[in-house]
Amino acid sequence: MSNFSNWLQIGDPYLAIAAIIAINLIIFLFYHAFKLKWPDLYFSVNNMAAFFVTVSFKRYLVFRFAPVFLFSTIILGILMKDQTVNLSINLGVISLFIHALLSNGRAILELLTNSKRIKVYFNFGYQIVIHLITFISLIFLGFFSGLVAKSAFIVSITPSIQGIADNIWSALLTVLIIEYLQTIYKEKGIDIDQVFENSLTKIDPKILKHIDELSQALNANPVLVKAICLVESIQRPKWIRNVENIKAFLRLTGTYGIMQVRVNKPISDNESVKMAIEKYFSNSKGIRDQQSLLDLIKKYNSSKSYADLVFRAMYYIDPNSAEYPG
Amino acid sequence: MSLSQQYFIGRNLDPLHKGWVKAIIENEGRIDLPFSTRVKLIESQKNYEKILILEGYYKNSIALLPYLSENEDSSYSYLVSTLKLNKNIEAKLIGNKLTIGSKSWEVSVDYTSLKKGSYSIGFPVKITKKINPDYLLEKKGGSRFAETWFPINAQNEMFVERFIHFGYISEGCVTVKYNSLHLSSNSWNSVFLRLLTGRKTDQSLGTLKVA
Repeated sequence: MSNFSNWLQIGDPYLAIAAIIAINLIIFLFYHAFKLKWPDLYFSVNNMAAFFVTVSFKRYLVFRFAPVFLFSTIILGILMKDQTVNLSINLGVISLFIHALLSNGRAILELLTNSKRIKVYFNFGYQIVIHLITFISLIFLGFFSGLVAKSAFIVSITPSIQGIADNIWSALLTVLIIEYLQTIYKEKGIDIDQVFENSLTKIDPKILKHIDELSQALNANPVLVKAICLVESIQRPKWIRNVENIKAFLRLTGTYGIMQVRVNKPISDNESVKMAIEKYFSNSKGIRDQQSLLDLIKKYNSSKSYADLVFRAMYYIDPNSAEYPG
Repeated sequence: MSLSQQYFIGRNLDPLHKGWVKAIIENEGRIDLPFSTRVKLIESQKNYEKILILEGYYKNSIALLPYLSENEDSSYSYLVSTLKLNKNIEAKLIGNKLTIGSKSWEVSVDYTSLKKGSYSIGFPVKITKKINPDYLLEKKGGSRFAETWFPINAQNEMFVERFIHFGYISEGCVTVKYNSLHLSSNSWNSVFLRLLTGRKTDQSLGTLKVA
């Protein structure tokens, strides 16, 4: 292997093979992607080359030579950083010779063997000539790309192999972290319905039954009362209410129970329900217009945002009980 | 709660239940019962209530209904003792307008297989096929009741393939269309509730007249 590489003057054989494969692979992938993305602009080297040379020579140059030169130069710039100019030139020539062989060389062979894959749009000889000219031009292009790859400008703007490896690892790690965070936090925004659902399951069934019974007895709107109970339960979970009961030992007036009724002694959740319905919500059954409901709620708690939350809770429990809160 | 008294399935209009509750029928397994289904309470046990279903697809079946919520001391049932039902709702379909009582809604109709005449509105079905998840999001114009379809069938019709439903237009159906830019949930929610609180017979909610 080393004798062969010495004869070809391509230095480290593995680096040489890597360069040749990388250049040809990237050129192939580029044209393949181009074909998929802009099929109407793409033309195959095989069967449309002559046509496009005739139509627009400038376009042919740009399409056929510019990407090849660019990719070859960049890859050689990366891989040949610590190598000699001669090595860079040799590898440029070999890489683009192989590319020319696989593209235009193949097209010539298919023309000569009358392959069905190729369409003869123009004079047979004209097509062969175009392919031959392209073939030779690509070899010269390889020479120039190898040379340019060792210019100070290209050397300064292309990364080293270590730099590429570092960047790949950084990019991979970043993508993995972002994917993980996205999966974790996807749809983790606060959904109020979820809050209501969680809170409702935590309310003692006895309290809910008590609300139904008392609402019937005092002609209260049970959905309204439950909604307020739900909102209060969210704002003051049971463990906080238990802590607040300590106030009673200090003989302090405060709000107690699940309905947060203002009294000077601790009361149970059921007692607070009874007091709240008697004081604020009796005869509220049948009230459905938003303004009247709002007035009732504001007597209980004057905050507008509180009232909005109660309407949301009412809509959550029964969409027939309130207008859509938006 | 009193045994042998009639009750209705209720307390299931929130987005979690979407108008349905799950019960178990022996030999049938899990079934879905819609809001307002009339039942008789046979017995109350620790984790469930045994009910006799009095109407709909599972009429005369005995089912076990879990509680809405329960703890060691008490339980809260899905069953409600009172529910206002309209004896016989008559829905009218003229062009693209569906009217039930005093309320009207704009709908899309495929008139190729929905001919003029009178149709019976059956008890709803809970569709099992996957729907666009946005149809269930009320903040995006959906409805919590989007999975509920109401069959409509002409007299003596064996197989029902027509429905009143929410979402996309389908053959022979009356559709309250989904519109992400519009609060279509308000329309379907009120159609749903109007239909489900109608009762013509123990198998029919009401009548649809197509003009």
